[in-house]
Amino acid sequence: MKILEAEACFGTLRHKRLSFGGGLNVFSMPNEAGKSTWCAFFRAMLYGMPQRERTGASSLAEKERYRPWSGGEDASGTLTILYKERKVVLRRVFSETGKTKEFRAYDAETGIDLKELGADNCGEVLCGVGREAFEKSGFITHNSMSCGNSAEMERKIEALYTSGDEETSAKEAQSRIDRMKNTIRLNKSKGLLPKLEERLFELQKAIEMIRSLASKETLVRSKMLELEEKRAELKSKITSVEEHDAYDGVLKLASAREAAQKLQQEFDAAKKEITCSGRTADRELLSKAWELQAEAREKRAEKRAAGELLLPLQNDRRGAPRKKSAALIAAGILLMLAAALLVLKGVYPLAGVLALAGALPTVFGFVLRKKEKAGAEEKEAKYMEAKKRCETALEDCEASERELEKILLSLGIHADTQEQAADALKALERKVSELDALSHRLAAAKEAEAYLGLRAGSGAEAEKPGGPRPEGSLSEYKRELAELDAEHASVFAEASAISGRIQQSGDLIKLESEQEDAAVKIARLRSVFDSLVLAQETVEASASEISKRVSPVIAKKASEYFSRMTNGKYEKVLVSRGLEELEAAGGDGVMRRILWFSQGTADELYLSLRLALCGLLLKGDGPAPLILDDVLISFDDERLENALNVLREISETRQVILFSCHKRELDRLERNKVL
Amino acid sequence: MARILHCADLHLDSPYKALSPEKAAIMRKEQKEAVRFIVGLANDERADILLISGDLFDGKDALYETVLFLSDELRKLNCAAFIAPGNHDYYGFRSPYRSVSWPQNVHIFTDSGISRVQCGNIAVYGAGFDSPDVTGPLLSGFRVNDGEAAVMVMHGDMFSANSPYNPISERDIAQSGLLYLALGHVHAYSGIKKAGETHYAYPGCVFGRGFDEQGEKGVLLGEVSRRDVKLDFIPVPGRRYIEIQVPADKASSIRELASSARASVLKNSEDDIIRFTLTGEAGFDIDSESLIRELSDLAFYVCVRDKTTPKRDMWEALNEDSLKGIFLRRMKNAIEKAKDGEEREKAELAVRLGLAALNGSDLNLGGETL
Repeated sequence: MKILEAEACFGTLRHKRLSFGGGLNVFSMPNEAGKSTWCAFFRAMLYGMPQRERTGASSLAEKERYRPWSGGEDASGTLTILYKERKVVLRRVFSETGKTKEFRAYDAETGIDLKELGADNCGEVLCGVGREAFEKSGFITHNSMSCGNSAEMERKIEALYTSGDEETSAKEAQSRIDRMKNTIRLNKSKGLLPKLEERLFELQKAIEMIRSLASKETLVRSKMLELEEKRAELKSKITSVEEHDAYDGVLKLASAREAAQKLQQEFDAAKKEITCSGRTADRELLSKAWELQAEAREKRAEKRAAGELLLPLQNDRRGAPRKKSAALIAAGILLMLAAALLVLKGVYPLAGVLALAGALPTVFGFVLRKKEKAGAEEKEAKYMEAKKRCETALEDCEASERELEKILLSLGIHADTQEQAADALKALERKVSELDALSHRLAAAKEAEAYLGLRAGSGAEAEKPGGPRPEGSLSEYKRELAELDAEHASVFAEASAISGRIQQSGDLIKLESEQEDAAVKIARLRSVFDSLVLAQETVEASASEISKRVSPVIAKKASEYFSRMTNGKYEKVLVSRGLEELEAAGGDGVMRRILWFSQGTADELYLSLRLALCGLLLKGDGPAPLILDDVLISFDDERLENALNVLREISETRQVILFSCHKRELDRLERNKVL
Repeated sequence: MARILHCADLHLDSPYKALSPEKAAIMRKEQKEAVRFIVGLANDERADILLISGDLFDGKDALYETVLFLSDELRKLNCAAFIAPGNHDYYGFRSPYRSVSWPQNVHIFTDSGISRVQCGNIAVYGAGFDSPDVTGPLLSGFRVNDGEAAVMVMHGDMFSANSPYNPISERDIAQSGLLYLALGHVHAYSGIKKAGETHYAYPGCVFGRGFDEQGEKGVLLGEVSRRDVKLDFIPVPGRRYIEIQVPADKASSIRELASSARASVLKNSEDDIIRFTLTGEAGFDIDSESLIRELSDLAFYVCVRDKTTPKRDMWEALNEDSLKGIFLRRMKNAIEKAKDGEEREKAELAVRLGLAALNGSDLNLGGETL
């Protein structure tokens, strides 16, 4: 394929035309004259514009960059080419978004469309490579001298040196495998595998927790059961103690009943004995009897005292209180009677003396008598008083004794003497005391019976408990039971809490199933990952094997061009499989990476490689043209000339279109009469 | 004479790892139905004794609610139940058996020493695992009392003399003088066997829990007397695990493979668990998930195991002088040099993955497009 003519409405090119010859075409244009735009135009006419390219901060997308600056019209162009010995016109109109909205490839003479050339495949059919490979080989600009690798180019190169198809690219396969690997595991946290591993870890933790809770619950429940057993044992002991107590109660009740009955009988007998013959025997009467007896004794003492007091008075009264006066009077009277007699006898003096002597004792006797009478009256009075007192004491005594006797009679005491009465009273009192005591005992016995009866309750009929009475006491057991109940409640609460936590933690079976599922998937993914690694390594090794064949071929051609451009300074070039690394050896035979070279030498090496690749790749239907944009800019004069010689040689079989901002390329060529 | 029901290896609270979590939860509920069935069967058939030969629970961490459920169900029995714990549910310090109060009619042999319980006119002997390993042999040297009609319930292994799970020998059985030895541990029904004058049997597990426990499961029911031991295998209703091999050679699409799988399913499998194992050479990358979706209506649960090998067609570029050819030759070499099956499978999968990558096609593995 050769480009004959181009007309462009593309970026700064406003309906500009260029015509081309079949060999080496050199265009020397100043800056901003549209050199790079022409190059881009050829590429766009052949391959269209990339749709995915986006304008960034430091770059413009092709579709925007080459929109006609004049505005108001679409980017478009016409390329007249020589294709299969025919003049063919390619017409393309681009939409604002860079899409090809109109494409036509037709025979310039007949106007008949060429069906094999379409908007999408046109470049590939004409150049033999896709856009990507074209950009890395036949389309060389100063900005992109380095080659780099592309899957398409790799396929093309590998296909050249194997009998295989051009569809297989190790690079693409590797990146596909990388994608698969990344889907499985991109890094520690991204990818199917990390997600599953994380889920598995979570599941394992959850399951472990439930398992441990379940195990704990088993322990707690078994502890609870133990406590329940102990509780049941204790309860049975308590029941046994209570049964024994009830039975003992019943026995005690029966014995209390018996005792009460016996006491009742004794009481009844004692009472009967006391109350026989209709006597009463209450303590009041007894104490009254004692009181009366004391009173009677007192009264008797009083009576005796009064009697004793009366007797001297009586004797005193009965004595001769008047004897002295009566004697005197009698003596006086006698004397006077003697005097009277004397008188009669006439013995008067003596009668007088005798009368006188009689009168004196009589008077004196009468005085004495008066005195004696007053004394007697006083004594009589005293006597009477004493007598009265004596009589009163006697009456009182008698009254008292009568009353005492009455009471004694009512008490059934027939005593002849006070002593007998006192003895009988004492005996009675003893009996009453005994009766009282009996009565108290009876009351106590009845009370005990009632109490035991109450306690025995329905158990009054209790049978004798089977087993022996437990050793401990009821209160002790009850305390233990309360402690057990408290412990049981706490263990029960713990068990319930664990159950609750297990319920909340999810369904163990589901979790385990999910765990297994995740484990199986993980194992599967890991084996896929391992297989991917193996596949990738094998693809890599296979590609290396091919590259061992490919790289030397490219390197040989590149070495030839580089040696010519550098006047033989560098004779050997090595190319890595990815075409990304270039090395060259000079006279010293030391291989140096391209990074060591000056800009100019590096560009020369890149150009050598590109030209070598073009020779291999750009075949198509007839060799595709080589489009070079300012690629010789850093070359020194000598090497420029060498490079031009190489290009000229290439142009013998392939159209070469070189744009330059300098005139020196043209000058050199004109001087050498090449053009 | 006594009428006995013998079951073993219920493995309650099994995780059902082969199933999806949802289906596993359903299965777990159905396990309980099986317990109800056994209790109902014992009552309906007027059994005198229910013998449970261990592994009643799948592990020592059985859930309390499960243990409680079991004790509640056994309380409904009209007969006595004898449990001899096994290696899965050994009667240890943390044994689930310790967590509930068992009804009066249930006797658990908590000790690895053989003990005896008189039950009506028959003596029931038993011994339980008290640790996960019981090297025993517990039956060694045992002999019933003279003239005694006796049965025994025990968990043990008859298939390995060095088994850590109470190895049991025919000789010990023959010398025991038992009428019947109710065994547990082996998950497949052994049939009623005889050693000396003693009959013995493994009833197998009550329900399958994985594809290694396929077929019908059940319990043994019948009469044990001095004259004879007549026990019948009674299937317990439940889902079966069924494995079906599906050759994938002729299928060229998931649809074709699905219809070939569908054709190989027997009738009445709607409630079962089916695993289709794909064999042969697969002509395409099989997306198991899609296949499961196609077949999911066939049974309660459907899963797929892809055991196919890459189709020979995949190797057609083997002799090409191309990237693919070189890749295949290297992989073939790797497969041939594989040390074991695992390495071989890895290499075979690498062939498929590598070719897919070289051909630029997508790969679907386990429902995920890679």
